[in-house]
Amino acid sequence: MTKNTKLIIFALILLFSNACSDDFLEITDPQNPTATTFYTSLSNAQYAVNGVYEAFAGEQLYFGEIFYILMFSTGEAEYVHPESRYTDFNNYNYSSSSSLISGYYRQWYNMIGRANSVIQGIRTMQLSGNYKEDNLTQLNYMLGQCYFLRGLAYSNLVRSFGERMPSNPDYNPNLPGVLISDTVVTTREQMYKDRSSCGEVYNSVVNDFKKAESLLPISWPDAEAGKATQGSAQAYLGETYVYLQEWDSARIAFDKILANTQYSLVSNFKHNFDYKYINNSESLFEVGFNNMTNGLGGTYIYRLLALQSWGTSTVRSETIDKFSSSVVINTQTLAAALASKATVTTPQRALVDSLIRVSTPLIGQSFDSKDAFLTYIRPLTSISFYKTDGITYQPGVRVFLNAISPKEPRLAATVYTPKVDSIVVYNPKTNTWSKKLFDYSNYGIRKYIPDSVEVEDALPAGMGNYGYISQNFRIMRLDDVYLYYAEVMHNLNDDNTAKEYLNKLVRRANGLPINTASEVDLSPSDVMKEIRHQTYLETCLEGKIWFHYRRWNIANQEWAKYGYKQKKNECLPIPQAEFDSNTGMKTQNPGY
Amino acid sequence: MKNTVKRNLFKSSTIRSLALLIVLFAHVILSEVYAQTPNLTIQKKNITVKEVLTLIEKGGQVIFFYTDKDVDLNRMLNINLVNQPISKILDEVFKNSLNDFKIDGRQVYILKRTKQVEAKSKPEKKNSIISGVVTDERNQTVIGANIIINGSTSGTITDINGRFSIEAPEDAQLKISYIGYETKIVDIKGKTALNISINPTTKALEELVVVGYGLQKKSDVTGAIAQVKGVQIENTASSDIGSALQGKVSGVYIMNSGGQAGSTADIQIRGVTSLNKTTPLWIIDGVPGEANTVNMNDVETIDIIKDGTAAAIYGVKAAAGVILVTTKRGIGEKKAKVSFNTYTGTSSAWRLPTMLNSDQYVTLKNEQWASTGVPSGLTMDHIGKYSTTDWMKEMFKQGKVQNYDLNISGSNETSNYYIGGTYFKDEPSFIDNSIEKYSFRMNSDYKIAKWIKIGESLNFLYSKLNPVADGDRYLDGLFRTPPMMSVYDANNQPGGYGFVDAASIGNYDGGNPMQNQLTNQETDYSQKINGNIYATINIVSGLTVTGTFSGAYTSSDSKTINYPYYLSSSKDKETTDISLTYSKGRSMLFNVYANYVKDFGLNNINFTAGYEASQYADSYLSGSGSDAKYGLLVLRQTDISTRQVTDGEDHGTSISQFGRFQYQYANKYFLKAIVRRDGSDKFGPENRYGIFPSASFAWKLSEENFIKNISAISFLKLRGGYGINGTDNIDQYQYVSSMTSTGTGYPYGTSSTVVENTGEIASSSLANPAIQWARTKQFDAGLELGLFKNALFFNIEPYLKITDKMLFKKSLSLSSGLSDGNNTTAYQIVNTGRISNLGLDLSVTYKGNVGDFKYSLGANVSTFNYTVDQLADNSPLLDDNSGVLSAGEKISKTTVGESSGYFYGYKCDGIFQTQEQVDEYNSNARAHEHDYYCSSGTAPGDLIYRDLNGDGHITDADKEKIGSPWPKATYGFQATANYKGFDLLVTSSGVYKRDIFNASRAKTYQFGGYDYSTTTQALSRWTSENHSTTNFRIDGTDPNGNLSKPSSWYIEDGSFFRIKNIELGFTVPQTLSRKVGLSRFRLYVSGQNLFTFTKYTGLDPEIGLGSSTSSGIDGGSYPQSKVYTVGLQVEL
Repeated sequence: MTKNTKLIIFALILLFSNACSDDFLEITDPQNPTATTFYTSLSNAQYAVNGVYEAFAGEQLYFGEIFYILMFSTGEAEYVHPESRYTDFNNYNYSSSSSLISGYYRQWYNMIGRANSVIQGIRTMQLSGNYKEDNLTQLNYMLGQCYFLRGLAYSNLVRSFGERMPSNPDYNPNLPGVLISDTVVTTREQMYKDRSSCGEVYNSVVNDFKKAESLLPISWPDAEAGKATQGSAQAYLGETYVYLQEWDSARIAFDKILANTQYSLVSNFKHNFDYKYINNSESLFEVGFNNMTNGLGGTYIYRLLALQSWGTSTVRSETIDKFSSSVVINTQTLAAALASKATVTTPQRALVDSLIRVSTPLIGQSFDSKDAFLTYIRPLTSISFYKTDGITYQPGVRVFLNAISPKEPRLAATVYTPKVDSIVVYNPKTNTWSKKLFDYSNYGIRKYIPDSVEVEDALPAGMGNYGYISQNFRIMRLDDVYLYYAEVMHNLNDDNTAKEYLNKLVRRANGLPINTASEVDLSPSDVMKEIRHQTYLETCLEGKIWFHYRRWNIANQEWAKYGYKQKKNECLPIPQAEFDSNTGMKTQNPGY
Repeated sequence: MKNTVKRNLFKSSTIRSLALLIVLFAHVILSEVYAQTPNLTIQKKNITVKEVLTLIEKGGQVIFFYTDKDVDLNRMLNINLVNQPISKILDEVFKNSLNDFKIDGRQVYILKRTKQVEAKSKPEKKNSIISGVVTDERNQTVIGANIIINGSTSGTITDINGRFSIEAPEDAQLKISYIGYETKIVDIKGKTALNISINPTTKALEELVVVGYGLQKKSDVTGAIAQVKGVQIENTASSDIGSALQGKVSGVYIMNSGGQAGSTADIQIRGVTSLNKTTPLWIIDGVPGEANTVNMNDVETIDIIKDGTAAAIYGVKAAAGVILVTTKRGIGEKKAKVSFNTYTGTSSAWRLPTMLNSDQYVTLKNEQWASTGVPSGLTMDHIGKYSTTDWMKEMFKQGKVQNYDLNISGSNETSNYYIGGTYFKDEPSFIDNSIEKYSFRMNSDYKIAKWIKIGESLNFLYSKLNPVADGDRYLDGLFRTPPMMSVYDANNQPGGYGFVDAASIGNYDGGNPMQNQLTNQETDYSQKINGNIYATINIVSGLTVTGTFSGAYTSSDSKTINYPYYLSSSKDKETTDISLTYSKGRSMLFNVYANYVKDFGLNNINFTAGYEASQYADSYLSGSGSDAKYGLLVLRQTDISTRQVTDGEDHGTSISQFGRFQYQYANKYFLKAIVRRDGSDKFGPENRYGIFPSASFAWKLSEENFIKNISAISFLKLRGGYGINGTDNIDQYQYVSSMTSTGTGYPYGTSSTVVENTGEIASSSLANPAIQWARTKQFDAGLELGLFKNALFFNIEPYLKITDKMLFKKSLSLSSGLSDGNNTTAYQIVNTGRISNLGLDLSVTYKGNVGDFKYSLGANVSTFNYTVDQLADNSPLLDDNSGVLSAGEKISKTTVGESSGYFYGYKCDGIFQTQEQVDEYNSNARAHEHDYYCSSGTAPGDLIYRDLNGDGHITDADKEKIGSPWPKATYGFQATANYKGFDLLVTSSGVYKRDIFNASRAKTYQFGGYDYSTTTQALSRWTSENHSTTNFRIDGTDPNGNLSKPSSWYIEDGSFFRIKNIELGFTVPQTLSRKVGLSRFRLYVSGQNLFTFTKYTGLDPEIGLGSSTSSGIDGGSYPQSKVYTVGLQVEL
């Protein structure tokens, strides 16, 4: 070949080399949309709103571990397991490095971050002028849901991490609350902030719920049930005013709900925890996990909370005692005690007989608690009530006490009673379900835990699989509103209304017509005490008591025995990881 | 001039003639560049032979080898040849002379015409005909070795069979010399037949190393490049090349990641380059590739570029070093050579722990439950009731490894070929775990015209992996299994696996490891075709252009079948489930570069400029379903309602331009400058391109007269340089904010309405539009010293490596609102951060012989001092180490001023022995207004944590650095020895002072969980009778956090020294093997990992490197096996 030919080839090679231009490097992600182009359709906006709700599924939220934080330190339940990150909540041993607390903290902020981003995206859509009437209404509904969820997240954060509850004698609005992030984060530095004051956070919560109330619809079609409604916002707005002790404002909010005929107590208290009755007339807001029919993982609480599962979550006997705290001596209870003596062995039968004998003269009397009863009869007998350890009742004494303490009907919906309740067990070999006695030595958590789950296997639609179950958490119900309303009215010096709302709950619990006076109606002399008692009976083992007792400033008296320390355990520590990653964060809660 | 060293070497000797050689250089000369001997034009009158040779050397890029005495260099010629090949010119030069020549690639040997070799002086004594054969250290015959009667000028050279025949006095000595080998003198002593073996010189400085888009003589390089020969790694019974390099090169820290089939080694070159994952760049035959696609025995050489100046030519991704693999070609094989190689062997697990027997289990479990109350239904008082299964024995068997290679190579004037196939199968000692690999390779070059040469390297790989069912957790299952569980139980159907009544031994929630392994049948198939074609064109004299196009196509498919089994009512599976994944990847790369070489007197310049572009696209489709029917194991027979499908895709591009300028003067001074501009799709338009320059020099002092006079010094070179490399080791699309699916879905609807499977989406990371190239700056220096004809050779290489604008994941604050619901922390990729490594690599080799016993020794040691100088906001990084001790407990911490990922926890000051001691600590706590020292439950037998801040109470504030995962030094030794037909190779590697956080202690010295078993090491636990000072008490509630708090109790010295490989071979003398038509017949035995010296009490101190921010944590993975093999190598 000639030299020219070679030069031509050379030139062609050089040409080919430059064929690739700079936009060769411009590639786009085939898997994920970019944020800037995302908010272009209503359906996309709805996906983003779904994402805000999805924050509830965080591991330390309603995936399940939130209950370790909220239910174990209150003495409602106890966790027996070698892993201290869980058992630390049995005895207030947790610190700012607790991974559960940092997850709980972070996941509420996930909800806030997502809400901020969607609020900005939807506003951009609204301002674009591309959307007309109907669509704008839909967009407003979405905005309302975002404000609602953001308010809910801040409400939980400030009530958990704010230095003091507003009802606390030491409270002032300038105490550190939590960090407020209300715009879309675009730079890292933007996040470096210290905590806002409690007052500012509560204001922000009130504002969010108010905005939500004004934007949200009254109800949704069945297929969309579970989205936040105006009622959801009103209930949480009312709750926030209760925390702020702004009773008049609280009353206004709750009155709207009470006037709304779409809400009513369900006739069976148990249905509030049954996966078949989700989004019922009593629900004001639920956290949804009824998604296992779609092949998605539900909530993991079966594995975490069911007795004799991974580790052991047991209900403490103190909780059971609260359900039978009053002791009534009448012929009926004494007969029950006599009948139950057959269940105890010979030496203890004598004990039961003796106690019946001692108690018979007291027929017609009632005592506030077992201890009050025992204190009364102790001088009348030589019976030793306790075992040598001084804490545990002698078996015969226990049998007697259990028999003469009337059972609160809600207990059955709240716990599994050992050797009494039964669960339905699936046998994969015969493909059948059969009843099995709940044959354990401890009480088990029952709320939200169905009695027919087989842990390790796939089950009929909607139910458990490998410890996951389809279940919704009714985090705000009409009964909560009634309890709050009773408290509001009590504080507004209308004890009659307060008692009426408590009685509606008691009537429902006893299967009686809700709005008609009945023989189980209470007439407490100390209305506030009864409100506390009814709140416990109605809402224990749901993660609500931890907030209420601190709000009522009775945490120390109730929980000191578990390790609660005043000044310290009134709030959770800000997670150490937040200080490590946020250079603006300066203030830790006292004692941590 | 490039060949001066060579020439001087032989000038100084008394050799009379010098021969060509073929076989030796066949395995050192490679790559497309080598044989591009261009045509030349020489039109000169009255020119000396010497001048002509000089012109040819410059223009033709060849190196001449000759001794001055053989060639009349001053003979005058007239030459008028236009655009002729070198051979033609040399024909002209040497016609009618006493010389002949041989061209072998870039080497041209000028020797005396064989027929001219005859005795010139009449011998005074009685002469006899002496015949013999010359062999090299591998017992291969040497072609073209010089045989001279010592003290005379008479001589001959060996023929194609390595034979010679010479007439010599009976009492004379023969002097044998050969390029690259030490000269040897042999007494004839009246013998008429001699078998002579010769040894290579210690440092073959004339060898060529691959420097990226070209080759260079090792003696001339200005950067830190180390070379490993194919023969040094061949027959390593491993599927991974990386692990075969262990201990062989200074500055290269290699740790195997485990003993599973198909496991690979982690490689780190010269310290830590980035806190983000960085791995060396692998270049296979000139184009980027994957190490595991290359068959071990196809490797000709591996060149490891350690420093930035040398790596700069590869710019992007080269910051962590470059490993260049060159595969074998057929160059120089005059006739077709057929090689067959096989080995087979057995492997056995090393140092498996002894598990508790049933009685020990019951005893210890009672202690565990003493404080919590025994779970209901438990009968733990049955000492002697249960039988014991030795689960380690059940799950580990004798492993097998086998390998077969067959390859054929050959060449002629215009082409060469290498065609080979390999079968490799490894079944490590864990049951039901294996890998099989078939690979085929074809490499060839063709000179299709005088000015153009083309060729290709093609490789096909097929592999089949049967992995362990539980991945890295498979020993965890064994630690958990109670000894009373039987392996099989025919009553448990389907499956027939044994189980224990969970209630009878305490809520056992684990499975049966045998069932777990056998009912999960996964097979991963992978087919890879990769290769490249190239053309080299000679444009004008000195200027060549090479274009390479390479492509790879990967297709993998994986099928997993989960069979039904029944262990208990809560541990069973009824259905047969199938999952399938098909993935494919394709990549293309094109590069073209021009090379221009010119001499001006003693000056030589070499200029290279080129362009490279690449793209890749990967995708996968995967589906699963359960309840396969009719016994058919296909997806379409699964229950349709359970079928699910998912997919993914991924693509990327890069563009680069590069240039290199090399200058040398008088073979003494070398300068090299490189610049490369890289574009990456990972950065935004403003920051897309990075320019990476480097400059380096070398000064060959041994060429200076003041050194030349020192006879002991045979080679001395000083070199140094500075270079910048870029890194873009981050995920794509980090410069734009994107939305991702959160994955869980949120349902709406009531129980009476169908639940909607609603999509959901959120943003989960914070985009950083400003991200750009991380820059790694390296100062590199080196001193190479050869003594006593390079028998003793030192290499001293200090370096300073600083990565600036480091790209890493900066964790966002918890309140950022950006993360998923799990424990993964949201992050932003940032460019802030600087780390520096000050390091020193040393190596020394010595080669000697005692008579026929020849040996070589090599040692290398590397050390580096590594610090993190700057981090984003200078706030510490805590690696999550999820699940190491207790979930969420962070063990590895990175702070400014320390090395990254150090172990962070409590320092232990022993174990509480008495209650008085505990009371004393608690009363001290109360003096500081705390309730207790560590926990209310702290009792004798618990660890004593050091109260660092002196407040009497153990809190997070008492945590400190308790160990470092970075070794003080790493080292390796190699030794070879040859005696007659025997050869011995020993390689070893070691790590000095590396702390290991032995998290597996929680499972071997204690119960790892409420339903775990443990090993007999737990018998050393503290009890009121046995006041142990090394192991704490067993307690189900663990109130003191002995098991959950990271503490120095878990830190162990991970130093070890391991004999990686011992190979003893015997080559049947060629005189014998020839008789059956074999040119080589070698048998060998070898053993891998036979000896390990360590104080480490865990399973294996050689654990993978992990990440820069979380290294050195041993969770208890399967230790490496001891492997014994026997092998056979045959050549026709």
